[in-house]
Order: sequence, then structure tokens, then C-alpha cells
Amino acid sequence: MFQIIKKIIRNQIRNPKWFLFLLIFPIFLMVLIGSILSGAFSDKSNLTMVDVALLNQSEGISAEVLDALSSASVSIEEDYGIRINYTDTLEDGKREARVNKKVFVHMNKDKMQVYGNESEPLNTARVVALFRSVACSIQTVKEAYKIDGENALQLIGTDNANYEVAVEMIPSENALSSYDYYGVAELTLMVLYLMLIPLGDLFTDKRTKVKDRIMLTGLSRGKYYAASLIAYSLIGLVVFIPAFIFSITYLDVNWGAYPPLMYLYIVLFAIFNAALGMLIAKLLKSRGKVDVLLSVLIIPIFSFLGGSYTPFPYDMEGTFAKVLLVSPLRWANIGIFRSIYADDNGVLFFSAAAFALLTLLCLLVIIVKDKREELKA
Amino acid sequence: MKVIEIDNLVKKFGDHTAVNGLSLTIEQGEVFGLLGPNGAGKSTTINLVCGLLHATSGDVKLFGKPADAEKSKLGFVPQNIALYDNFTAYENVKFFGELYGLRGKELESGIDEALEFTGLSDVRRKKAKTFSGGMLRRLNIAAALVHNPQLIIMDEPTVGIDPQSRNHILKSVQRLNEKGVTVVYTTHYMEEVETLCNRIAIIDQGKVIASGTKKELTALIDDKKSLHFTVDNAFELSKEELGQIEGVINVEIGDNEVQVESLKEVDNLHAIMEYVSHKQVKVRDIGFRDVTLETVFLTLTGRKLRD
Repeated sequence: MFQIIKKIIRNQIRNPKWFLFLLIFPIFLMVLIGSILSGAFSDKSNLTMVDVALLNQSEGISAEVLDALSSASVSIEEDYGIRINYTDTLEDGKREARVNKKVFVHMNKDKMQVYGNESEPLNTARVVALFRSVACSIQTVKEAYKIDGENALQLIGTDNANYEVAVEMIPSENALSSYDYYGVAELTLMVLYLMLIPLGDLFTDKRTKVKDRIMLTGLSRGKYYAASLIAYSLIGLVVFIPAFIFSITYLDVNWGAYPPLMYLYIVLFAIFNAALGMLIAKLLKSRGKVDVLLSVLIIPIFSFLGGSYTPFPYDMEGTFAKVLLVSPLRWANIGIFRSIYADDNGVLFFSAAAFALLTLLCLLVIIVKDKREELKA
Repeated sequence: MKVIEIDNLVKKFGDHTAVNGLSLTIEQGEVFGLLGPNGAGKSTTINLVCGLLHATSGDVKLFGKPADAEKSKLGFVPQNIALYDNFTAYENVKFFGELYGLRGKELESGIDEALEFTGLSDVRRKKAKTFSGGMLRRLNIAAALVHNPQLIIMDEPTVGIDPQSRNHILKSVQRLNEKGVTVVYTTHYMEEVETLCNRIAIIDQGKVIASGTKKELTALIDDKKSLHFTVDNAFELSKEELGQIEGVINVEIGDNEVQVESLKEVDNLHAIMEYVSHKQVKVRDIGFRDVTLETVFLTLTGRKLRD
């Protein structure tokens, strides 16, 4: 058996196409998809600072708005993301809006004119909203004084006037970032691709009839396939280590309290995929059919349902949630995420047991099928 | 001692009968040739002997025991190049040696001998994928020799290789036989069988249609004669027209060589020369030669070996 293990590993070293693919591609995918889809997971505001060019020729209500803004207890820049710079002429202000995409506010006597760059409508809206809200407040207070000065004074003079919405900032450290998600999901996706190595090897052994020659040496079929599975398991154990370490050290992916144990779980999933690859190679005679089956059905469906590209919540319920469970990737991903974020190891243990049992089942089916073929031959 | 005993062997693949009641006995120390056209059932017979296929009926014994029990005494050179092209010559031979249970000095000497024997010692550290077709065929043989088997079965080992490698393989087979190894050699190249084999079985449609030494086989058709002549412009001659001459049973026309097989009792030399002269073809050399196994096969089956 040792000779078969050694042969498979040596073959991978000599022809490392798939090995390198599995070694490097997870890192590439984690970084690429993690960064592209970071917006969907971001725990920080993605609003950018708005620069305002202000031409102050204010009188009346406009001047009052500026006074209110400058004397406000909150920082317009820090809390609202609006930075005000003054400009000297109307032309300068318009140029700032046109060229530098600033929002130009012209406080013209008691009127306020806003010029926004058409490529940044949201920035313009934010500035308009701020100035309008301040102006409205001032006017409202004025009207209130007109109607009932005593009451208005009482109202504004109390703490009620400083009424603020209570805001509590929740720490973001436990939030799932895009790298936390795709660090896990892309690694498990690439584990699925491990099945391509045994597929290629077993088809080559079959095509060149090397397997027949091996059988003539007296090695049993059981030992041949068991040794092959051990070799692919060793490859699975080694090949994903760089991506796993990279995810922790460079992407700060959360693998829970015991990352090495989580890696062992991934290796178990890899062994299952190797066994699945061996089974497919055994069941299908044509390499062409296998390639179509993998590229059109198995890998796209498993990866989509598994959440490799589109994250599906791990606590989903209903029919679609059951459909998602068709993919073993989904089992693996749910197992990992529930263990890390919900402190629930149930799915992890259950899926680990399922992968182990299914691996043995695949091996059994392969050996029985091979034996039947031998007797039929 | 009987090395291989095949008794009434039948192998069916669905409706097709590949081997049809084949019986053979091969003695120790023989180089036994299985000669037959493609699809005659040679490889199927070999695979049945090796245990790679299961017989529909019949029996195969190796060294007087059921074939499965004596597999380790057998070295098999398959028709395919059953090797790892990313491995060196040494690694390929070592892989199979280890699978046969060889270890340590026994393994190393087995590898050395096998590579030496096949003339690959100088390229032992080169990967198989850098080898020519002939070198790969030789390495294919080396991998079957590493465990010093008493019986070597070679399934068309010279298909598609250059004459130099072919000669090397043929000489290797002779040297193996001199060492006392029994060789079973299948081919559809009649010349190889004539050169190598002590005994020959001609197989067609899954049956042995004749077996014996070359002399015994050619004696089966001692009523035939074979006229060979070398000419300058053989293209002027017509197989059909030569075939119409009385007594002619087969005509082969090459670039400059012409071979006419005839019945011995018919004196048609004059008629043949008259036809050649009529076609204004210049004859350089002429003479009768021994009847070949090709003629034997043609006579027995009505078909050519390479049809």
C-alpha cells in the first residue's frame, strides 16, 4: 500500500498542476471575492466626506443658519461628514462644484442657492438636507415665539429643547466581515475541487492499464483504493494549509476559538471529496462525461447552494433551506459558521460524522463495483 | 514441465465470442508464439492466462496450479505502455519491483538487471516522458522483468517502434530464453515469430487453427511454392493479372519485390516470366524461397495476417 501512496504523492509533485491550483487559488479567491463583496458585510459607514464650497453673502435667515451651524454642539464635519470651506466668488464656487465635485452653497442675502455636481447627487442631497433642517428649525422657533412667546420660551429654555435621540454604538468586533465569510466559504469551495486529483489519476491508471499491471502484482483491489484514498487525504491535509494560515494572518478571518480543530474538520471534508472523486471515476467510464458532469452540474450547483458566492444565512428555514442542504458544502459551511458565531457545534459534529460515513460508503461502493467488474471481465 | 495449460478456453463478450474453445500447452524453456491477425483473440487469451479476464468456461493452469496461485512467477508486458511518464526509468521499475515485494539489495539488483537487460541503464534517471516509442517499449519490458519471473508473457511488444528498438527487443527475448525463462510472445508480425519461436500457434477467430514448430506448420502446406523476383518497375505489374495465371494462389507486389505463391504441382514459371516480359519489366533477381507462415495462414484461413 505504501508504494501506491508514494506513487500518488510523487506523481502530484512531478505534475503539480492541480496541487498548485488548490494551493494558490483559495488565497486568490478569498482576497478577490472578500474585497469585491466587502460592502455587503461592511461594519463601517461607507458615506464619504462631502466637501462644501460656501460663498457667504448671507443676511437674515441665511446668516442665522450659518450662526446655528457654527455654534452647534455637534461637529458638522465629524458627525455629519460635511466639511465646509469658504470661497470668495460665485465663479470660484461653481468651478469647485464642476471640477472638484464639491457642493457649492451660495448664501445670498436671505436666500440659499445650492449647486451640486450631477455625478454626486447624494452629496448634494445631504448638504441640502442639513441646511434645510437648520433653517426649518430656526423658522419654527420664530413662529412659535410669534404665537405664544411665553410658552415658547419655556419650551426652549428647558432641557426638552436639547432633546436628542439616544444613540448607543455597538462594538463591531463580533460582526461577520466579508473576509470572515469568504475566507471560510472559498476554502471549503476549493476543497470541493480536490476531487479532480483522484479523478485524473484513476482515469489515467485505467486508460494506460497501469491498474491492471498493479493488480497482477498481487495487490488487492481494497488495498489499491484504500491506499489511494490515504494518499489523497495526505494531499488534502497539506494543500490547504497555506490558504488557511493566510486567512488567519493576513485576512484576520475568524475561525473560532480552536482554528486547528476547524482545519481538521476541513481536512475531513477534503477526504470525503477525494472519495467522491474516486467514486465518480469508478462509476463513469467516459472522462468526457465526467468533465461535463463536474463542470455543468456538480461543482456549480454544490458551490451555489453551498453559499460559495452568495451567502445564505446559516439559520434559514423553509423549503429553500432544505434545497440548499443538497450541497455538502452547505453542511460544511453551516457547521463552521454555527460553531463560530452561534456557539453551536451540533451541525459541525453531525456533518463530520456524515462525511466520515459517506467516505467509507464511497470506498465500499468503489471496491464492490470493481470486484463485480473483475468477475464480469 | 508444463508452464501453461489451457483447456477448452471460452470467452464471450455479450454475443461476441472472442476465444472459442482454445486449448494449448506450453512447456518450460519454450519461446511460444501466438500468431494471428488483429482481433483473432490473442490478447484476450493472454489476459485470461494472466487473470485479468475471467473465462466464460474452460481452465487455465500456470506451473500446474490454478493461474491465480502462481501470479508472482509471471511477468506481463502489456500491449499498452503501462508506466508513469512522470517517473524516471528507475522509479518505474522500482515501483513494480516493490509491488512484487522486493526490498533492499534484491530490489536494487532486480532493477539494475532489468534496466541493463533492456539497454536502459544509461537513461535510468531520465523521465519516461522523454523516451522514444522504442525506449518506452523496452521500459515496459523492464518493469515486467524486475522480479525475475519464470514466465514472461509479451503482448505485441514491438508495435509501432523503430527497427533498432525492435531488434533490441527480439534479442532480449532470445537472451531471456537462454537464461531459461519461458516466453509467450504474441504478434501479428510473422517475421518475429519465425525468428524467435520454438513453437507457434496460429490463432484465428478465437481458435487455434494450427500449432507446432515452423517446420511442422509449413509442412502443412508443402504443396505450395513461393517465387520471388526483384524488378525495376513493379508498378507495371497487376496483381489481378498475375493471379489469373494457372496455379497462382497469392501475389504480393512491393516497390521492387514481387512474390508469387503457387501450387507446387503446377509448372507456371514460364507463364509468369512471359507475363513479366510482356509488361516490359526488367527482372534483376529471381528464385524460389521457403514457404512462410504468412502463406500458411493464408492457406488455412483464406485471409492475410494483416488484413
